[in-house]
Amino acid sequence: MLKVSVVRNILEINDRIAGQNRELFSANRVLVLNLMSSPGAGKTTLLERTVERLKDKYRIGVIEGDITSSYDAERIAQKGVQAVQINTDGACHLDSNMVREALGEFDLGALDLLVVENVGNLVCPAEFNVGEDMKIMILSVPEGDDKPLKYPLMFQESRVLIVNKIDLLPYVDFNLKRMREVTTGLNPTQVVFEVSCRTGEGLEAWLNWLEARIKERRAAP
Amino acid sequence: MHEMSIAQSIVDIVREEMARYDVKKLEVINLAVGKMSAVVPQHLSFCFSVLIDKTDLEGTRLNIREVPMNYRCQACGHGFEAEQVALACPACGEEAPRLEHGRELSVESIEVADLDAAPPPAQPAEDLGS
Repeated sequence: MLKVSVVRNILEINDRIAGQNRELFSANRVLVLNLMSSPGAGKTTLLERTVERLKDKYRIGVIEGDITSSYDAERIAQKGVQAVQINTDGACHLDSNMVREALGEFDLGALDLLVVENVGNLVCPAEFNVGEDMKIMILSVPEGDDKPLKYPLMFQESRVLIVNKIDLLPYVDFNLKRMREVTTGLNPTQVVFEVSCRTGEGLEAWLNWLEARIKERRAAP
Repeated sequence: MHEMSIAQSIVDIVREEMARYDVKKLEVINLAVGKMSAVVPQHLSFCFSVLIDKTDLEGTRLNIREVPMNYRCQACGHGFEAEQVALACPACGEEAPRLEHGRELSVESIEVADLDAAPPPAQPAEDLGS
């Protein structure tokens, strides 16, 4: 038997297309977020709140990834911005090729911010770059403060962690301090926002931070 | 849960390599899968066997080398292996040791059954001159 050395990253094809997407985003100076969380943590609701507040100042587009249905894209489109639905037909994550295909629906030069809402899942999306500037993740309080230890990759890969549903803190055993100890160990430079999309608490800080990133992207050479 | 996509990528890569070396039949594909990667080796093997069923790759064995998590402390330089995610250096207590190994997800080599179908002795083109 003869052994032939190969040494190729299994995700290289995904990474290559992600690189092409990134060049396209960069040429158009559009800030691209890959938004991830488990199902029901509040990705679409955070997006609704974000779009409501920023759409008069910035041009926003949204790609909605779901296994099936166009419910989320309809919710976002009702807010008056362009939303394109990708149905993965069973796949548990978006990959760079799916996003590339959806990009054909947008005029990227006419956008300041593009948000890719990934399929609800704390595992798989973390492995697949789609060409984003940064990964943003949401952990909602009812899911429990042990999630960073159980799904470390997602927490390590995400530049921003949004802790949502903090209005429920009095009713659940979620220890913010314990969670922060773990997330700091996993990802010491991660930016954390504690919010309630329902009451609006804490959203101001997130929106200000995001606005600063959009401006940075527009100003970049 | 995304093992099927990973298995498909492995098949794509292996087919490219087989075409490059003019290999018709494979015995073994050697993979490196880091413990920190979100891939379950058992699921991956199952998905792979489904994908190659009744194709020219049928019978090819997937040999998965699991790569443990290896960290290095950014303060004292201590290197250590960990079964679980490490949040601090066991030697000095500094937080956030850097993960050096454990994210691997690669095809390392393929093993060819038939010596007549062996690749040319030269290295792949991109390795020449290095």
